[in-house]
Amino acid sequence: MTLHLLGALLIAGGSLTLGLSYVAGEHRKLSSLRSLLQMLREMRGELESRAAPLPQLMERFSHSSGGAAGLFAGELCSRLEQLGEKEFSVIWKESLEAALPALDEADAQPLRTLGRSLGRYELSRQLGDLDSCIGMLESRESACSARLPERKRMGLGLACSLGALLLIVLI
Amino acid sequence: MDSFKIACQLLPARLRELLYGCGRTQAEEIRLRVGRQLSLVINGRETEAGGAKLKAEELMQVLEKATGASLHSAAPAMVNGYISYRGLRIGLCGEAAMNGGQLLGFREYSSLAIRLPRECRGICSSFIDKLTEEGIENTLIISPPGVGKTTLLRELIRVISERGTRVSVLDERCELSASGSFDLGRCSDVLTGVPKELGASMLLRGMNPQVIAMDEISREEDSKVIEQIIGCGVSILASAHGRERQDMLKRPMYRSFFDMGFFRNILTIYRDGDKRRYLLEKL
Repeated sequence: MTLHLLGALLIAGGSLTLGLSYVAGEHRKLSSLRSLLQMLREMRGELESRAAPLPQLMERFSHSSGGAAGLFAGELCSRLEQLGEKEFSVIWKESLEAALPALDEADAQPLRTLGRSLGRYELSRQLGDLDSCIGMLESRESACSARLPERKRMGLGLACSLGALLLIVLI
Repeated sequence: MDSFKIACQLLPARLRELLYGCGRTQAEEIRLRVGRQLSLVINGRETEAGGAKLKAEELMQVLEKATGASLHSAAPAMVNGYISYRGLRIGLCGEAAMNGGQLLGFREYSSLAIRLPRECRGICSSFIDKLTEEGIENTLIISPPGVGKTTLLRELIRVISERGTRVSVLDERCELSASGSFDLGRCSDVLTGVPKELGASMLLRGMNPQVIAMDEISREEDSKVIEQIIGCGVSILASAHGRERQDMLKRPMYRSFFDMGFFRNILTIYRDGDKRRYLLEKL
């Protein structure tokens, strides 16, 4: 009987953990998007106001930004010594993949596109591309934010149902 | 570090090896053109260095290295047709992006010309005594592009400064001092990265110069700077593009300089085979 109770507890605990980790993953995704958006908005402001050099900006973001933006900026800074051997767009893309491997393809794509323009073309074009990237990520962030409560309920509900089902089957 | 090594560091590994391999450290320029082999200008003549043809991305890599992947930050300098990197001048050609008559930058790059500044000690020894026999008088150095105006000006500054004259160097594009790579003498003060109009006022107010040296006077605004300096009783060492003095007289700005007697010495540089000849005219 004790063993049955212990097994039931383990299954319930495991299911709950599964549900919670799914919810935490959704939260992480949202917070990554928000962090990257914050960085891009600041970058846009700095480029527009004083045409700031990108290494200087990324160095600052690597210290001042938390989460995904900080990780990405730090990774990019560490790879900037490859400039001259690799194009900046390649370094940008590789940094994105190395620092944020879990980023959804739909979120990574606008960022990769942005990397092909940053630092390369005239400022007005870079700002236009930044706006476009920010717009795309904002709509992703809104969608992600809107469906978070629903995903929370679904994740926890599914995990609990799975746990209950396993309990019924095993006990 | 010499300019050839700095230029080599600027190039992607393939081109760097090519340059080191050909060992032409006396090159005056490195020319990069998309779809062509890398070439070197030596004594005014251009020769290809061999190797595979250049790709557009290799030119981009050079520019990204030179600007820290921030060509937008270098846009103000691009208006002059070049950007500077540690004393090197990188001339640009390609598809420009314009807006309302203003250059915004370049969309694509097709050619780069990396000019390698050099130090040639002793090149003014044959005429320096004659040039300075009545003190340091306003002197204009004339030659076509790439013949050695900046090199001669740099050496004149060094020699005059070593003799104890305070020379303020108005080095707008950081080419005379090359970020401290060249010795400009013990009595030289170098102001870099400032437009001539502003720099001249700063030097006159702050540095008590006996001579102000500046490279390439060519714009109408420069004539005001020269008037201001001469009006303050300070001598000028300057350079300008031109084949000879007669050529300069065809251009209103230079004609007015000569009409008003601003310059007392004209130093013309001629290419004579692999050598340079210097002609000093006292006006």
